[in-house]
Amino acid sequence: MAATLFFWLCAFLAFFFGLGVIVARNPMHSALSLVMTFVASAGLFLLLHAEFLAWILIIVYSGAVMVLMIFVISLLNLQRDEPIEFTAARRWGVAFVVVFAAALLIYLFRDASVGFTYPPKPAISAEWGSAKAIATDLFTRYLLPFELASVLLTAAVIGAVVIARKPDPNEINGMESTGEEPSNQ
Amino acid sequence: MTELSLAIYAAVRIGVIFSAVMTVVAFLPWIERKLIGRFQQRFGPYRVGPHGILQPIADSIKLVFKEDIIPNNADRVLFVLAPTLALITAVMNLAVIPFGPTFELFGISFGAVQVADVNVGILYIFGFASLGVYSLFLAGWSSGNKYSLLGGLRSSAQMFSYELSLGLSVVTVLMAVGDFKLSEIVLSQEGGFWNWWIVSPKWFVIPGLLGFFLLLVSAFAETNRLPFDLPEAETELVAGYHTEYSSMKFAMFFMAEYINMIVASSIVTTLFLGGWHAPLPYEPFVLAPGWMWFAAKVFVLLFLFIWVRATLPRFRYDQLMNFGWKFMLPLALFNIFLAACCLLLADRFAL
Repeated sequence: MAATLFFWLCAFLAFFFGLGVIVARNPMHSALSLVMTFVASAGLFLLLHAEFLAWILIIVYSGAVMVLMIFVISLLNLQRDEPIEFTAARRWGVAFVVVFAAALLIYLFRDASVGFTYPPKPAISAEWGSAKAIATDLFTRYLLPFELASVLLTAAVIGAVVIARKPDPNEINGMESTGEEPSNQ
Repeated sequence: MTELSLAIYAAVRIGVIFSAVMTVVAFLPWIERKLIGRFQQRFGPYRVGPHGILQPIADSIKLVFKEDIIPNNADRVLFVLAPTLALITAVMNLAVIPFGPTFELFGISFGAVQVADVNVGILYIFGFASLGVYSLFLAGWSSGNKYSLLGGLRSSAQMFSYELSLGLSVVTVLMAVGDFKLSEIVLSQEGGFWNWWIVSPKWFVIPGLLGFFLLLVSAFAETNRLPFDLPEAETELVAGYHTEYSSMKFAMFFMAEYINMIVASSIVTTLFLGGWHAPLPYEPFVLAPGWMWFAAKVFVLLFLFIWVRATLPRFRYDQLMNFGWKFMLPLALFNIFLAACCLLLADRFAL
């Protein structure tokens, strides 16, 4: 009973704020709606017995990724109420997405005429979804993808450092000698 | 036990913990002002009631009756949402803190003095702490004021930077205990202060001391307390993110800050100072109930918060960032490495 209520609450919030992400005119409201969508999705994860994942979702996505996003939005001097032009390409794009989404929904819910048929719930152990169970999986069965992901992240960090670093003074001198205008950096 | 009786027990626990913490929150500003008065060779509040004890009540009456102003430039929804969010994220953290062992009232056992002993334990607190960043940032952004925006930006950058060393300093204890559950972390420190993780011989003392130091400093930064109160540095930013707030909205930020101080002290107590365990496992000490020991430790840490505020000047902003990223973070990473080595060694020699 309580679980059902909780499910509908989270599902409604996720849907409502998910809509808010694309409908809101103000990019800040849009980003905050995304934060709330993550939080509501974390609630759904909780119902699935995946407590660890739920909190990781909140800490990493709502807490870290979105804070950076909002940081950037607040630093951009945004023009409010920018009118949206409906060009032909955009119209076709919208039409395509609507048709595709409708087809997907019809495919997913084609059993709905005979009532929803949920697959039988597999029995899960009490450990399931805990940090221990996830860590065991990550470091045994999925070790290679896990390590590959970490290599990818390291590459991304190095890339970020290269982009953000101050230019080498020698490099600028070299550019000054060839270029016409001396750069101030 | 039926679902209804479980719900009633939970409601009693929530009521007891919430009202107890709120009472402390009400009088904490008075304690702080009194102590800072003493540190600065003056009396502090003295007029309202004996030794000014009724000052918090006078202050809250004043705040309730003040005019509630929303600036024209403000984003109204977010302006109202920000203080609410600050208070909610602060109060939610109280739910998982283990204040004491099982307690009895009128012969009925109500379970541990803890609203919910969740599996994710410490992660729960990090989750709400990271959501709490939004409240300060939104307050700054939605006010439509330069100083507020700068304060908000500073607060989010600062909390973001120190969250890393906060999380990593906790990892050491998690490695030693092998569980996220806060109640398990407290139970692992049973039997005298030499078993508390701050000085535990299980990992040769040093990782514990380092971790305690890192956690404490990060906690100061996370709660925006001096010397890390850059977001509200009055000499540069008027009052930072809450410049435009008045009346109860301001009071909510104020309450959230004090609740966050209590939560931070409770986390340090739970992780490193033995939680509700008595410092010596012998007769006169263990007679006092666990929650009293917990409260005593939390008050010592709160005193430390106030002491530091009265003693240290504020950092400059670049110093704050350098300290966070170039000192705290590498040290926290090194500490994890050190703790792992120590734990392996201790395991090997079966200490």
